[in-house]
Amino acid sequence: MTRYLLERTLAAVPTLLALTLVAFLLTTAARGDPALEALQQAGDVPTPETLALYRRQLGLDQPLPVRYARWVAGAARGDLGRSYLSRRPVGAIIGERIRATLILGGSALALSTVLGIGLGTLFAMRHDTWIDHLGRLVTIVFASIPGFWLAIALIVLFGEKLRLLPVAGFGLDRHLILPSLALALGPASSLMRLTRARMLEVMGQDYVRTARAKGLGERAVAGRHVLRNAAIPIASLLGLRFGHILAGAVIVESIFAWPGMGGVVLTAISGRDLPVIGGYVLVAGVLFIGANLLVDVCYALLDPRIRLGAPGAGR
Amino acid sequence: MAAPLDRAGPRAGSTGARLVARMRRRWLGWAGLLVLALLLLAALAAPWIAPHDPNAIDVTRKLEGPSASHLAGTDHLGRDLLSRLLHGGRTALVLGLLSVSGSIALAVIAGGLSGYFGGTVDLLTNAVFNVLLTVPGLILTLAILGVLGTGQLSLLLALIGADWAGQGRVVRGAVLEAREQGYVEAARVVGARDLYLLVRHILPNVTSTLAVLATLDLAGVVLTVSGLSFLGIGVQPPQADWGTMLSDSRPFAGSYPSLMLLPGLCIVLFAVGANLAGDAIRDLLDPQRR
Repeated sequence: MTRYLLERTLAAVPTLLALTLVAFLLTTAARGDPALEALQQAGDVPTPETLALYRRQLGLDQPLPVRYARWVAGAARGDLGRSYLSRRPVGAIIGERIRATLILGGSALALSTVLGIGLGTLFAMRHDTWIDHLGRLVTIVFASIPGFWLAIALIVLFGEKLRLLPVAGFGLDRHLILPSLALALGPASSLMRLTRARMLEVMGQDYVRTARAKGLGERAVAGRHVLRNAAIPIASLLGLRFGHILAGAVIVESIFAWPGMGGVVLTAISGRDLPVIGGYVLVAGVLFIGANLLVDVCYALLDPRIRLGAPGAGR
Repeated sequence: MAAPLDRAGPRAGSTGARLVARMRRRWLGWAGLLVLALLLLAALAAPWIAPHDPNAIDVTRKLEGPSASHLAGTDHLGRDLLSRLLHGGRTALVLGLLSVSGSIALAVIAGGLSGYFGGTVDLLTNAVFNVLLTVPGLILTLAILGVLGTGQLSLLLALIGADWAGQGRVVRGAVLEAREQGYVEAARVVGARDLYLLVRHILPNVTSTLAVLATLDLAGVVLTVSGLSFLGIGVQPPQADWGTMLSDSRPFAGSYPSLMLLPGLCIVLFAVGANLAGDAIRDLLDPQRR
């Protein structure tokens, strides 16, 4: 197990390096002179002297590979440079917002897992009945509803008309319900689909017939044998969907006035605040990679062959 | 990779029942194509069939309900809702088609060359794919928009930039598979050259993959664009767009729900149509799923 986890962690290192490259290139991708741009974005009138000084301060007088190495070294210590707009450290700007995004993302991920695997299992167990056919339509419709539109609809319905739930602001209570729902529906739809397909595939296996033959009830077969064996691709899809949830959070957070990273990103985009954009991409990417590492841990928990390092395991 | 979806299960029942199920699936697919085609047609014809100028403001007639002159009512500036919906469809159509064809073209070139030639070309292209795919698609779109600034062209580039790598990787896989087929080998033996092989023998084999990728991407692009426009960083006002219409409707959504429901419905219908059509094409072209 330790060896497997060590291998997976090492395998994530090149991905992480690739990510730092993308993020760094984004911070340097200014169309003209980044120093000039930074000063203008901050509303200053640049003179040759301030420009030269600022360029030295930002390290822009160094060649690109040197700047990349410095940027990565800084990022490893949590130093992502300073925002062009507010002049505050990017690490601090993102750091104070990340918790709210993680809470919302985690809650949406949990909700989509429950919805997706639950309904997907139901559709598979009722294969080729009207429930299954309806499910097919539901899956497609869920995948086609934009999260932000669902968010507005939920606000109008539950907030303004029924006055049941709060529609804005942060809280670990009922405040979480509507934004999580708005974020979870899309990922839930693809999970439903995959769960259904995988379960149908596994249901054709010999060991499932054996389980039925020895008199296990349909539910026990589904829970103990089918779902467990269908779980690995579902877990990898969950890891991928976490990326969608992170991205979708930018939009949903802004609608619900949720104090996560979304607001920071939007301000940075409209103000072309490149250090913040690069920093955000790095942080979101690290979270994404981390989630997928967690998925690898789940593989090991789900499949003893992976845990024990058996050859040919982990399909 | 791609786990086979919707394979008929072992308990699918009699042949007759399976046939009915398949017909029903096809029926949904056709319905999707029909919805998509109608929306595309309406969008194409928008300048001719729209009853009003989509940007004509008339504050004396703001927030009106349906009437003979404004079939779907008016918005908070008295603009005709139906005309804006039609022209919004045009915006979605133009952006969707341009970005999908752009990213698919890039994906075919990069994935095709990489899969066909292998070796160093493959190594390099794959490295680029992997680097781009470390960042979730929509986040990459947002980042590219942030770097390029908002605007129609940047929007297009941001959409293409985020989508082509994932598609390229799928194309590469399909080409790798096609390259190993006996007839390609046979054609090579009789002296066919690379370009000829690629265009005549390999490309036709990946068209089904491309058709599926393109239709599903069309749904994704329309959803993304509407979200970005809603946030104010996609299509810029006053150009009619379903996303900007939704953000305009936000303050009135409670009292005038049709302002919010109609553009939303258009987005959902468009995406459902494209998703169903993509599924149907996949079902139709993949003999394993028939």
